[in-house]
Amino acid sequence: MTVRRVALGLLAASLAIPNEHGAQPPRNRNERNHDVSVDVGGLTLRRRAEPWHRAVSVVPHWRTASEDGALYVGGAVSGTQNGYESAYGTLGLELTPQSSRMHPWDLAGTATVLSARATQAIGVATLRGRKHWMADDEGAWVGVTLGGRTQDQTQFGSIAAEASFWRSVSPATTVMLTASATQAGDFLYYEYADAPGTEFRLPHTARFGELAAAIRHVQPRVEMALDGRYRLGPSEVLGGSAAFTGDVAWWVTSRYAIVGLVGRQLADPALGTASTVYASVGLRIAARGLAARPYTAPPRDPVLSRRPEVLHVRGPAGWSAGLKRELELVEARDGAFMQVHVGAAASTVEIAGDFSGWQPIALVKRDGAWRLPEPLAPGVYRVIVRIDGAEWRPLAGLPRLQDEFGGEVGVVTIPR
Amino acid sequence: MRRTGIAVLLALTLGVARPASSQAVKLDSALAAALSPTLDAARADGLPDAPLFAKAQEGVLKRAPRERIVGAVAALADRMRAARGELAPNATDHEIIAGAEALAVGVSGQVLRTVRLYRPRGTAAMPLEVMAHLAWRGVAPAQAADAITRAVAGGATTGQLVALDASVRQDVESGVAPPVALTSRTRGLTLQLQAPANRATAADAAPPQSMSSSPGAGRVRPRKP
Repeated sequence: MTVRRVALGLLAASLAIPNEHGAQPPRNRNERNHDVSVDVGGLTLRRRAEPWHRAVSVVPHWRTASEDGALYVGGAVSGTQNGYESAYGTLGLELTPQSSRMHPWDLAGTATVLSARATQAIGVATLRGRKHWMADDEGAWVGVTLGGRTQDQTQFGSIAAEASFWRSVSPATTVMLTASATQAGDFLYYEYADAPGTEFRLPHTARFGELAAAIRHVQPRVEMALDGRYRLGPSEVLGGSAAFTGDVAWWVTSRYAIVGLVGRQLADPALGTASTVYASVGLRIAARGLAARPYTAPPRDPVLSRRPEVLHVRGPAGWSAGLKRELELVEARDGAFMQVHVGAAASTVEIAGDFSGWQPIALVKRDGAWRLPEPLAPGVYRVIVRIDGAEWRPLAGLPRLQDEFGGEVGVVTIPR
Repeated sequence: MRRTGIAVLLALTLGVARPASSQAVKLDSALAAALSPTLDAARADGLPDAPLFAKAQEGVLKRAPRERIVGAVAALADRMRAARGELAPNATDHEIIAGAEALAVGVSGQVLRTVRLYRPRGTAAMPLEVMAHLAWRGVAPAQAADAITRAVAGGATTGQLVALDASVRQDVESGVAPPVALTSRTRGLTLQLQAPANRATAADAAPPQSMSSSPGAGRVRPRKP
């Protein structure tokens, strides 16, 4: 969602190296591809240079999200120098209904159709459900993913179970541990760009497990995510292999950000994706007149695709990049907690507003942040804050109003 | 004597420490005495006094000069008095407070009278609060008043007004210019209102629950056991 709203352009040069252990034709080993892509809003233009041909792709994608879920539509049309064309389209839907706030669960489904010359159409569909348990700073979930793939008039199925635990070790940092087990049916792999019809067959039934650890760190100007995983299973499904992904976005100014991606992904027998190693760096430019926000790279991994704090924290109120973020709303049963980030050096933080009849209330320090002891009911409030007995002032990043006393107050909205 | 008694009562009232209060701010006796005429008159007129206490408290918290505090409290009392007149004959305290907020941001008294025409007793507060919220976010008061008045006249429900308020807030936080956000969201609401099934009913025109900016409306709640 963030990407769709603020992206004007991303110029990225990437280097993709097919994994020597990947389920790809042997002659692809150690060959390098060079990508140059430009994102404009929801459209990506990509030029890929490979040793034996050059390809040009148009990759439209669109995503919209609300508190009740998200809808994603994407695809790609590619043409190569040797006249080989391919196209695919994906429809994704995530459901996180308001009714599940008390007992959080989510449901996500995707459907993808791929068509390429010299092959029949391939269809892939997945459906994932998860049940969450959440506390203020930690949580866990269990989930099941069902997958189906049809190709050459043959259907394949897969099932995966996943359990994860996450914990916010600080207001800016969340760590996550995940274990999963997957059973996939018989799958075929094609190298579409190079040799149509080339296939690589896995064992009739593939079973493997994965242990993963992820960490995500978010600051007003920098967002980082790192995910490492280890696969358990027979060598045919890359058992004993490790993989990782990392991305960082650094907003140098409110309009310009440097984004970097690096990773090594393992083939996924359930989805039919191949292994790759990649690295890219890009410059992201927010359109003038649009609120600039830190760029969040599209998640490529199921573990990070549903970041728990998205469910857990409604997000900063009135905050945009370039403004220091001082207020966060943490959802509670009857409203939301106001949580203030004013630095670790503060010894006392007080807040006052029309919610308290302008009586000061001491905030309680918890995991590096200062929190109002009780949740506030949905509504619109005027608030000011005082740190270590200094002058009362509005919180940075909030809309401000002039008061009758020559000062300013911040406006906080607790959503329903 | 009566004035002194009220001043003491006022000071005691404001000095009561709330459970989570770090250090309760109290009025000095001179300020309490200076506020007594305004408070006496407000009570005599049947106006709610909690917002006046809160306004005085806000001034003390910000260490404003006594004269400025007294002036701010008197101005608020005047706005509440005007709002009660525009929302006559039977405005509730909640409506008076919301009306005073709307007047404070620049909404005209005529708008309050128009809202009253379409909203019976106890149901005019929410439209007036939404007007104030929109103005706080950068919408011109006249545009906010016009949009909400039209919505109310078109039969917008309380829920639809709350949703409109939230939608504009989200748009503004996403970078959309406040007037543009209100125009586009109002257009969507108008389309909804054109469907007869979506028009407000008398049962829906219930007093708003907690979407209030009035002092004390969202006080910190005791935690449930």
